[in-house]
Amino acid sequence: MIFQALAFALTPAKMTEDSMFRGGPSHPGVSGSPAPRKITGVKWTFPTGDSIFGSPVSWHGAIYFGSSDGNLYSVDAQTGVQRWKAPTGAAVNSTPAVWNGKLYATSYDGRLYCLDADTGALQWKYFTNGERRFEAKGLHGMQPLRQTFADPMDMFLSSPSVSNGAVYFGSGDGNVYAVDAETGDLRWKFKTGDVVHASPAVAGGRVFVGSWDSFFYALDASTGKVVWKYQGGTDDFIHNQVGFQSSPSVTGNTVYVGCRDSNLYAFDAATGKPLWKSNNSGSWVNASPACAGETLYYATCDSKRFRAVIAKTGKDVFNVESKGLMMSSPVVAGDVIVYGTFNGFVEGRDAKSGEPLWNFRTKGSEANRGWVLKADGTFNSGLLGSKPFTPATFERQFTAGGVVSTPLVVEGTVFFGSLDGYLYAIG
Amino acid sequence: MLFPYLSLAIAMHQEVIDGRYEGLVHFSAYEQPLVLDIDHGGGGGAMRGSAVLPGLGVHGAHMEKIEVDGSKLAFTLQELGGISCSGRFENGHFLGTFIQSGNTANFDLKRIGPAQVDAPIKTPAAAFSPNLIGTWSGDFVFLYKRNLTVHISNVNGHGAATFVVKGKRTSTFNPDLILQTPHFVQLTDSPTGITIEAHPNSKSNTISARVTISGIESDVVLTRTKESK
Repeated sequence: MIFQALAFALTPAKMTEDSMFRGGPSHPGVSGSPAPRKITGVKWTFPTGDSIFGSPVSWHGAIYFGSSDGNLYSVDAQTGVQRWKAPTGAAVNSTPAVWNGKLYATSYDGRLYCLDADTGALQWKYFTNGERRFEAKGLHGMQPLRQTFADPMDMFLSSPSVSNGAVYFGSGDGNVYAVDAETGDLRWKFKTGDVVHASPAVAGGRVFVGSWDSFFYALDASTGKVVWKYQGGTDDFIHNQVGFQSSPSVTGNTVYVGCRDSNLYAFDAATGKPLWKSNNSGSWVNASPACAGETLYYATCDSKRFRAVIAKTGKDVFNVESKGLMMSSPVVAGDVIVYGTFNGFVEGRDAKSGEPLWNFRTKGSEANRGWVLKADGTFNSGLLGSKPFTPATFERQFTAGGVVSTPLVVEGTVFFGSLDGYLYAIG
Repeated sequence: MLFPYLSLAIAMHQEVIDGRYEGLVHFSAYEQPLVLDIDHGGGGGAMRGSAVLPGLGVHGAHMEKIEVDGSKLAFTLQELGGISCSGRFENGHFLGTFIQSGNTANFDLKRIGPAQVDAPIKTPAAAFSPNLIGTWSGDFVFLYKRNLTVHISNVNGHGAATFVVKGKRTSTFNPDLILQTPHFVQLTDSPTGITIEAHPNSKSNTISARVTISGIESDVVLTRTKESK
């Protein structure tokens, strides 16, 4: 047990590069570069053919990201000019990982892609058993109740994490995969009971990831064998309060993860013992937490709460209302926290007090093409909440230029994708 | 001395027109963002271009049937069902009309920077690994059982391949896109969209492949034919 504790203690709490989802395989969510305390405007925008769900990452002066138009992109960080574009067979609603000069990304075509990060040249593809969204009868109370619906809010694919020469990712086929980063050969796969669209966190020889089967797993990174597992909430009625969509963050010997059962959990990484949980009265915690020093930051979904808690105890430091519901995960960049909202804002807040410093609204949110936002940019819940509650109710919200992408901060510039199809660089 | 001035004039004209243009197409019900990239990077300095329609899944649709007349430009986006555009360049703007299946909408695009024309993916000039050279064959199911035979070779140091699908009838394909690394091979026949994606297994001396026909995927394990061993 001493060795295990030592291994976790050696896990870096701060990321050293921004070339992976949440800043590295342990998903700290802490940027090595401070965010501005005020912004002056847009530096550049880059148009893609469709919505951007995943997050940008940076490597060697380039910004890498995927789009629902089916392409992976590399653009120059300074100018926004395209360096290369590489097609996949379907929407790339995941965040790429760049490691050792290679780029790894998942696509709705059910493949893990490996490309040369400098040129975009295809290196290999690994085939899973195919993608699908989480689905259930009468999901979220949608009509008709006996109909099986794919979950519109299961919007992300699992973003790969790369560590020790292996690429770890989850799939709609229910498996967690470990694939050799060089050759694309399968090392192991572990079958869960449902869709895995969270991004695995890798630390201390363990792979941590949750599934829509209601369980959160700690797997041996070398073999894929279960070390421990924990069952979150279940919901056999409308399947609304079940599943781990949030990707975990590992700091020291603690794993933090949000759940659709409305809790943010803290587990002992070695044993799986629950240390504390922070409840949100029914509101999902789908975004991933960020841990900086002694403070853990996390965002809720429909209750629109942005919370800072003491990492050791889960006690509130601050609990403030954001401009919209959040699927975007916060990044801690110096003394500023940055995150996006589903109605198309990106907010910068003081990391200590939670006070708002600035906000930015996307073109898509300003355009309000689906007429779902009020003049102040908040959702018109009366209009959206009209019965019957159907998939169209969700789809209309996707027209609001939302930001579900996790912002990336590099040298004072904030990069993020929007559902309006643009990648933004602001500062 | 006339020719240098003429080419300078052409260069200046190109400089004015070449660029990325962004703005809105004003449909009756809503406004659609449109981005056009135009430059003279085609063969012999010919004009070429591509289009982005954010929200409609379109990035890099290639301009075809390009017609230039002074400051006027017309083109079609054939791969988008024959959308056509025509307009004129004026003070850093491209003003024109967007025609889609008889629907007409005006657009006003502003030049915002240098062109970023999307070029189509081409087969790189690379040779196949020696371990892949030969003829490989295996059965797969697409509605019913079929056989796939793939011939892989190097011609003048460049990878070359053909594949044959044998079902109720036999069809031979000469893929126009060949992508390959030591760990992966992709053969695409663009006219039919049939694609073979293959991962060599060095331990078993087989190739695990996925055949995509009309968007439907079938897995096949290819082994060397007796003649190829």
